[in-house]
Amino acid sequence: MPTKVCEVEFSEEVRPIWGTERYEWLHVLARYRGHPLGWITVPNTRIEPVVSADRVRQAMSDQVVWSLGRHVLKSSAGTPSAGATFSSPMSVVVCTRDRSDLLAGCLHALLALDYPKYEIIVVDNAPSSDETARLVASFPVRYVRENRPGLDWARNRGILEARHEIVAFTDDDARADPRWLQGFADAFAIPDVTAVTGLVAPAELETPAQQLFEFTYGGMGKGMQRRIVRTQSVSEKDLFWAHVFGVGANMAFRRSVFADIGAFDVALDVGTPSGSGGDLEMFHRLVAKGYTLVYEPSALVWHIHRRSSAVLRSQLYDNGRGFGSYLLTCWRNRTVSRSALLQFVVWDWLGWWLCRRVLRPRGLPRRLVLAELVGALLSPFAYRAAQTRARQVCQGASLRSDRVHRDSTLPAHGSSVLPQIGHQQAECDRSVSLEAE
Amino acid sequence: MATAVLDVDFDHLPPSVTGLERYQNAHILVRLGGRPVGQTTVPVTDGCIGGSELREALLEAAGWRLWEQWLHNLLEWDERPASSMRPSATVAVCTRDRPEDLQRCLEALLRLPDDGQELMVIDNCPATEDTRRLVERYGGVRYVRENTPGASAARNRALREARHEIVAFSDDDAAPDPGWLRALLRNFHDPLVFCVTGLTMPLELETEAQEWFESHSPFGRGFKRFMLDGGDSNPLHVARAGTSANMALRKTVREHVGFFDEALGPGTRSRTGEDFDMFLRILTSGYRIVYDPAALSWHRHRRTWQELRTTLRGYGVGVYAFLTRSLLVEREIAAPFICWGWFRYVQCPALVRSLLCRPERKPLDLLFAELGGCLGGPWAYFSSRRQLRRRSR
Amino acid sequence: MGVLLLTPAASPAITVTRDMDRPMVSIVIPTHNRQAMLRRTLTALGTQTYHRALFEVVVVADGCTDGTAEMLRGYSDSLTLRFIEQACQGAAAARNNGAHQASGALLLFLDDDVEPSPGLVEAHVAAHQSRSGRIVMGPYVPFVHGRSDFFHMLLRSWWHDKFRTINEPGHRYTYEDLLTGNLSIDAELFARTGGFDSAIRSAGREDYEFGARLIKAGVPFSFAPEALAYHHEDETTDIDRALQRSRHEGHADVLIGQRHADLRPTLRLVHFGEPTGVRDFLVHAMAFRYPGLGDRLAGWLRQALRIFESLRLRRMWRFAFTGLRHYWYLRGVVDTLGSPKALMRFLQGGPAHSHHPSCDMEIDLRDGLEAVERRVNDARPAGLRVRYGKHAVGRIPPQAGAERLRGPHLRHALATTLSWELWKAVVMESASAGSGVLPSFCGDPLIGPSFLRVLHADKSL
Repeated sequence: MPTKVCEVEFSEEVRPIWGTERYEWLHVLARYRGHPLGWITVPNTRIEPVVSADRVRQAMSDQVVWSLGRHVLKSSAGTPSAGATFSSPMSVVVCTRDRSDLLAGCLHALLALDYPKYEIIVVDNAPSSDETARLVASFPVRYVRENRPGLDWARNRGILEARHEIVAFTDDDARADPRWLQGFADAFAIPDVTAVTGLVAPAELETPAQQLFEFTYGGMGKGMQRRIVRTQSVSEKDLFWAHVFGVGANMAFRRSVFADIGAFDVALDVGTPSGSGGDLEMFHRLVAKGYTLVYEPSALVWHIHRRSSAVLRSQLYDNGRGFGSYLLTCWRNRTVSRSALLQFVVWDWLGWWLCRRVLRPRGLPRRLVLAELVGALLSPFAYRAAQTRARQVCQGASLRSDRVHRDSTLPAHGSSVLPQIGHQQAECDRSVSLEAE
Repeated sequence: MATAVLDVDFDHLPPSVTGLERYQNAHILVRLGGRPVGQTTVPVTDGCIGGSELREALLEAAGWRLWEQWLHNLLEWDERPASSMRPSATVAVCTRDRPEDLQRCLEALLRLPDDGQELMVIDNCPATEDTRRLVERYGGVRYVRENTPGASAARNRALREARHEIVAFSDDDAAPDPGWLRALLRNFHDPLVFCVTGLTMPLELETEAQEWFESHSPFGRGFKRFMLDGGDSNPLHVARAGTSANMALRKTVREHVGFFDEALGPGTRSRTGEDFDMFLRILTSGYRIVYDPAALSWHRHRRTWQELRTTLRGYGVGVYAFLTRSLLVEREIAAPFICWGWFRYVQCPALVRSLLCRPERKPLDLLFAELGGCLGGPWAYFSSRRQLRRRSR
Repeated sequence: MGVLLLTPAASPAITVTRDMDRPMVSIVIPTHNRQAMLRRTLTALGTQTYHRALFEVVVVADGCTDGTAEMLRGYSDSLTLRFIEQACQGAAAARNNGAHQASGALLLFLDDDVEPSPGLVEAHVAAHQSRSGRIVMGPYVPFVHGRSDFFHMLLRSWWHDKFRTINEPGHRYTYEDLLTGNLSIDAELFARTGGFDSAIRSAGREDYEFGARLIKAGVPFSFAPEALAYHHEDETTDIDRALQRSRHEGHADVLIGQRHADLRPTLRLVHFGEPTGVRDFLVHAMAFRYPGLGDRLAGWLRQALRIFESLRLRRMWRFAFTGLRHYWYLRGVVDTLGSPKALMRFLQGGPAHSHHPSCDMEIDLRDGLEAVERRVNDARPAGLRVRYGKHAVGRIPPQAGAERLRGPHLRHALATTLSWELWKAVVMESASAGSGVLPSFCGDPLIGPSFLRVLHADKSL
């Protein structure tokens, strides 16, 4: 039975929810002055076309009143609203590949953001047609083409292209909330913060695969509580569980941090044999090197989960593959001691997280867990292949281009494959040189 | 890796906390209108804690207790019965050759509001005259010298010497809060309450040993007042009742329950356990123990790792000596089951965790010290009794 | 003991006048073969701070055969003493008899095993002077005796908890709070209500029945903690007597239920209509079907209690003792009603349980707590529906055999049972009202007393 996803703003009049005739359950994000309070579940067992405001209010007072109380207290405490002190312009980078239908929705949402000054950069990653280019031409946004395949190539390109100090990333299948950048700004107001991740909520829960992913697997949301992650406040083990720090579909960085710790690892993530893990590796490296990361739930995007279970299975397979590749990258980079890493891999990840769940899946179909486990076991080969590919791409790119940008301030990081960033196509766009920093 | 200890009241919330350059974390006691409602640990960045971060952490830590207390303040409602009769008290500090600690304790005690209480220092079998000289510097503090070694003997002396109906005990390494005594005394309104214990917070967390002690075997028992009644709970579960570092007894405990067992406690071979024994006997005699977090005292934990190990070993010895006594003297046949429960559900899992290097592990040397103490506990009790008998002969 | 204190506490300046300020008090003490205890009570009465000439002691000997009369003669010069003898008729009849013979404007009932503190009579008088026409009870806490057998510990805890709950701010009195061991009432009021029901003879429930009538008549109860007395219950009660008493209680509960049909749902025997759990099922079957076997089993179990106690098996002891009490209680019920069918019929009678909600009063806390309390004090509703703005906070339901609501009851409920709901309502209300409601919800100081000015005086916002 499909579940309707919607949101209710509590500082305004609660209105009845219309259009529920197909849904037995409502999954409602309760918000107070834009801050997400939590999910509330409103049953609509009689499949009525409208759910009355009283029922919504009742469900709220039963399910999220505790966090509502905290937010009421906080907002009337007159906490100097951080946004007032921090409103520097931001660059929003959307990386896409041949999904122009999804991208259109994403761009519409981005253009409606409630933030004083920001730019939108669409990075088209090794496209097979010029459909995306044509679509983007109809929007007032910048278009950049990155021919080297791989999401992290595209992200790094986005960083190069960005003109502002804060670079925010989202995916083409995500719909940003109007207060999205404002949420980032609130978190960046804390002086030592270099990276912020946000809440990723499901945009729809129509198919069993989507519900399975959101409710049973855990979805992409990381809770409704702001968390400040500092190196000294996390244990070595928590440092490996980088997926609790955030998701690549909703993250923002101070651009200067890449000069210190390097850019995204191009051997990772979608479009390469490793499948995913680029965002996790970045969070891990960032925190391990002593930078502060904040999970800020009021920076909210809505994400369209995989609709069919076959795609979901391949996504979980990718997750396993990507997490393994990410751990191998950590092994190479020596961000943490290798013995701790080994212990984590054997005991926590393979043992506790994967094998235990294969034995007791707790509602998740076993074939999905198995897919993740198989992905995990194959990850060394995948990582090897991804590295080789990345090296080839680098060499190919340097052979093709006569001018490799020597002015790139993005240094190579660690011993991993050098992210050779720079492209002659970008030359014309880069009116603001990076040396300006 | 030092932790600052802060005391923050919601009624006077600082805009931010600065000047903590030496510390990496801050352990904060949260109060509302003077009453403790929770505690939390907050990371310190560059020597300060930002206002909004502090506020959020405190709200989170206090949780419902904060709101409940706030509501009670608003409704002018108190769970403790209002009483015009406030019993008078004697405050007794038992000490042995620790003049620096004692000085801090006495200064804290002299800051208590004057309700006609009597201050008394029991000097237990001193090696030097330092304590006497120190006490003489403070007017109005009685000095009593007890030559039988052992904290039990000193406490019994205090019970005999006290002029008032209630005897409040503070350790010499503790520093009571100004509201401490009044909060303790309020609970004696019920005539069946023979003992009141309070919340004990760490005075400082400068060393690793102190931090470890506070996070693994804290003295505090939560922020909710509760009452133990021998009638409706197992009286052998006395560890919940609190500690002797912060407690008050009704003087009539002498007649109805008896004195502290001088074969237990610091200064004897059993090292600790005299407070547990007293709690047990109070409960089995049908009287009550109240734990009231409003009675707050700050305790300086052992600073070095060596001292910590000795302390934990002492706990092992003391608890088993106490259980031996309850089995043999009080005829509590459930005592071996308590031993088993402690071993099976606390010590054994801790040992396994440590051996497997799992998170939340205790250092092995401390665990072995505690276990070794447990093995030696019964024998320590017997030899302590023998010693006592020999001395009294 | 046995020393006669002939000099009352020094009170030379009092002129003996029988005016309204210092009424004549009659202390009624029913007794039955407890000479030594009665002597202790009388001795303590000799040391009262209240002037000796202003109170008389009426001792009603209910079939005494131990020379109580001779003993009393020794007191005739230290106390104004009146002595009445009656055939064995029970404590209720004795109290009625004593009250009838008494000459004072104020009646003070004491039990013979209760030892009053010196200020007791004065405290009672003072309580009546502050507001007349009500019942004043004093605590008679168990004397701290140091006995540590399980039964006496249990008994002592029960008495203490009883007085502690009565003494709590905002306690709502029920008919079961009326205790006659240390109680004072206007003689005129006593006569008007008809006194105790002497048909409920033996076991201490005649006071509950009296309480039920007083509650219905709207007589306010009050508690004077200064009127302290000590109860030497350890000398008069033991396990066997307590079990016997349980049987009488069963009997008396049926009688109370017959006289006051509306109290039936509050009686203990309701739980035995449909026994739940193995123990109660056994108890039920034994009491109703095989009383002969049941009595024998109960006797054995009574012996087993000793074993449990010597082995310190507290929980087992508790379980067995409760079973025994239930058994004898049911035997008492059976004595009166006869059969399970009669019990069913008894429970079927009586009014419908649910009270019509229209007898509730509805209040909105946004009017300010003081104002609401005043309104409740004026209206004295049986039940209360509490709202905070649009949001329902909860209900204080009408309760059979309990007094009508007063302001402090509301405060007590808000602080305990309704606190979470109240907090929820406050948060919901202030959130939905947008920004304006709680400007100083918590400024700096974060949560000052200002936070819920909303409750205290909404007009200022």
